[in-house]
Amino acid sequence: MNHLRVLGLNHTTAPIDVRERLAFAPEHLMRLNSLVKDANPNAELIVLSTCNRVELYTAGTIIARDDLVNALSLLFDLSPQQFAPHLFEHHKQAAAAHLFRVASSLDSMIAGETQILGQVRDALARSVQLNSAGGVLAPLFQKALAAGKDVLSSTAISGGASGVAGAAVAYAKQVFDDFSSKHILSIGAGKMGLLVLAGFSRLAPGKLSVISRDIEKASRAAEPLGGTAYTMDDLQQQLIAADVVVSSTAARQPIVTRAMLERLMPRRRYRPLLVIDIAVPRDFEHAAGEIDGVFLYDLDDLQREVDRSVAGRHGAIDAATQIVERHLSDYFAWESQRAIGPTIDAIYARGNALAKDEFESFVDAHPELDAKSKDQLERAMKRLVNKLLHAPVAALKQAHHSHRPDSTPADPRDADKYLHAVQKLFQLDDDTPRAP
Amino acid sequence: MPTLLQIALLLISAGLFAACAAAALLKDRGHSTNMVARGVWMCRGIAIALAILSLILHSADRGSFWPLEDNFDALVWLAVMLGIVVAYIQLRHPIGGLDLFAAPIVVLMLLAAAFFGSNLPRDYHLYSAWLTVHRVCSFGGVVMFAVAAATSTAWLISNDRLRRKQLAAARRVGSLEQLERVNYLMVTLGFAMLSVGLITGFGRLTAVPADERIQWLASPKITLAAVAWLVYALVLHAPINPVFRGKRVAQLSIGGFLLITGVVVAVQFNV
Repeated sequence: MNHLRVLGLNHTTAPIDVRERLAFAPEHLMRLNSLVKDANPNAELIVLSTCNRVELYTAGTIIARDDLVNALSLLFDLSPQQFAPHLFEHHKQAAAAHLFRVASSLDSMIAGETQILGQVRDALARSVQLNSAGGVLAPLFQKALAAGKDVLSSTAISGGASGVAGAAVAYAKQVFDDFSSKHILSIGAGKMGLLVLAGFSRLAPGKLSVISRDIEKASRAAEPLGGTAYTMDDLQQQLIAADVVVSSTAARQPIVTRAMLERLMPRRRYRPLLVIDIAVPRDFEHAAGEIDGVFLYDLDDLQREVDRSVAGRHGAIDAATQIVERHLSDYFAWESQRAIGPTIDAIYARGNALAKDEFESFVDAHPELDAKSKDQLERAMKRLVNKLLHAPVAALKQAHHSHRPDSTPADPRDADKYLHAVQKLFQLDDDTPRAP
Repeated sequence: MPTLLQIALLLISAGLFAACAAAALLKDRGHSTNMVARGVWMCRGIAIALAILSLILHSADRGSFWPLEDNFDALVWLAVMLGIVVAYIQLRHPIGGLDLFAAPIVVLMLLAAAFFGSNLPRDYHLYSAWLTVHRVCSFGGVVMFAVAAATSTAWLISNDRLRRKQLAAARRVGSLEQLERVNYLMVTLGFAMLSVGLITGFGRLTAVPADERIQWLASPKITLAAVAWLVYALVLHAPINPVFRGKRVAQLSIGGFLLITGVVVAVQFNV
C-alpha cells in the first residue's frame, strides 16, 4: 500500500463550525501541495474537500502527522488545538476502504447522494493537474470511482424521497415531465410551505407565485425565489392558472372544496392539477382528490412515502456495502499482485542467473560435452531452479491472496513480512520494490 | 409459404421479445438490475435481427424482395417496425412501462405470422405506386397506433397508481405528461398515415366490379378502418376540446388500436 494514509475530519467527527473553517479553495490546495512536496518530493497528495468533509490522502512516503496538522494550521490560520482533536486517521487497507465507502456515498450524511462521486472525481482531477497524484493514489481513486458508479447505478440507494419536500417533488415529477412551462403556486407563506416551494424552485418552473392573506409576507416569501405575490382574493384565478399547488395555511376549515375545484376544472381546460396539502388541518377538502385530473396528497401521504423510501434505502445500503466490498477486494488483489510481481520476477531472474553461471562454468570445464548433453543439462538446471523456487513463491502469493474474501482470512501484515523475508533471503538488489 | 427455418427464426424472435416483456415485468415489480437492462437490449437486438433474417429468407424463397407482398411478410414487417420504433423511443426518451405493453404486441404479431402467415397469401389486384403508398402508410399507421396503445395503457396504470398513492410503482411506468405526449405524437403520425392509407386504398374501387362496390365498402376491413379513423380523430380533438384529456384520450387510443387490430385480422383473412 506504499504508506497510504488518510487524515481528515468529516460530519461524524467535527461540528460544522470546524468543517467550514477548513474549507479548501484552489489556492489552499496549491499551497498545501507546495508545503508537502517541498518537504517530501516523493509524496503523493489528494485533498477531498466538500461541505461535509476535508480529507488528505497521502502515499509514496511517510509524512509525519504533525507536519500535515501544522501545514493545515498554517494554511487556515488556525491553532492545531482548534481542529486536531476532530481528526481521524486510517492507514493502508483501512484508508482504501474508507475512500471506497466515501465514493459510494455510504459515508455521506445522506447515503445515496450523488454529488460525492463528482467531488471525488474533481479531487483526483485537481491533483493530477498539480502533479501530486501518482502510482498509488491515482489508481486507488479511479477504482473507488468505479465502485461508486457501480453502487449508484446498480442499487436503489439514490432513489426515493429524503424528506417531505423531496416526496412532494417526486410526486410532481410523476405527473409532469417538463416544468419550464409549469406554474407552481404556494397558498400560505409559512416555513414548511416555503421549504417545499424551494424544492420546486430547483426544477426551474415557468412561474412561481405565493398567496397569503398578508401581501407583504407573500412578497417576502416570493421574491427570493423569483416569484410573484398575491392575496387570497386572487385564489380562484391562481388555482385556474396553477399546475402544482403547495398549500400550508393555518385555516381551521378547508379553503378549497371539491365543488369549487369542479367548477374551476373546465376553466383550467381539464389540465392536471397536483395539490400538495401540508396544512394541518387540511386546506383542501379530501373529496377534491377524487376529481379526474386532480392529484391530491396530504402530509400523511408524503410522510408515508418518506418512510417507504428510508426502508428501501436500508436494503439498498446492504447491497451497496456488498458491491463496495467486492470492488475493494478486487483492488487489494490488484494492489498485492502489483506489489509482489517485481519481487517474483527478481527471484526467478536471480535463480536463473546463478544457474546460467554454474552451467557456463561446468561447460567450460568439460569441453568433451556434445550439444545434446549441454542442452539436457541446461534444461535440468532450469527445472531445478523452478522446483526450488516454487514453494517460496507459492507461499508469497498465498500470503498476498489471503486478502481476498474467497481465501482463508489472514493478518495482512503477514503478507508484508513474507515479502520482506523473501527479499532478505534471496538478497534481491535495491531495484526491486521493498515491502512497505 | 414460409419454410420451417423461417418459422423457427420467428418463434425464437418471439421468445426473445417475450423475454423482454418478462424483464419489463420484473422491472415493474421493482426487481431490476443493470444486468437485466443490458439483457433486454441484447434480447431486443437479436430478436429484431432474427425477424429480419426470416424476412430476407422468405423474400429470397419467394424470388421478390418487394416488401409486404404476403401476409407473413406483412406481419413480420409490422413486428419489426414496432420493435425498432420502441427501441428508438427507449434509446432517446426512455419510458419505463413501454416495453411491458409493446413487447406483447410484437410477440402476438410474430406468432400470428408464424402460425397464420401462410394461410391466405394476399392477392393484390392492383399493382401500382398508389398501392405501394397505401400499404406503407397503412402498415406505418398500425405501428404508430400500437405504440400509442402501449403508452396509453401505461398512462392508465400510472394514473391509477398515483391515485392509490403508490409513487414508486408509478415511477416505474413513466410520468403522465411524458406518456400523454408520446401518445399524442404517435396518434398524430398514425392518423396522418391512416388517412393517406384510406384515401389511396379507395383506388382499389376501380378494380372492384361495379355491382360489388357497395358490398366492398361495407366489408369489415373498410368499416373497421373508417371507425378507427373517427376514433383517432376524436383523440386528436383533445387540445381543442379538453373534455377528452387524460383518461378518455388513453381509453380512445386503446379502443382505436383494437379496431385497427380488427382491420389487420380482416386483411389477413381477406374479409
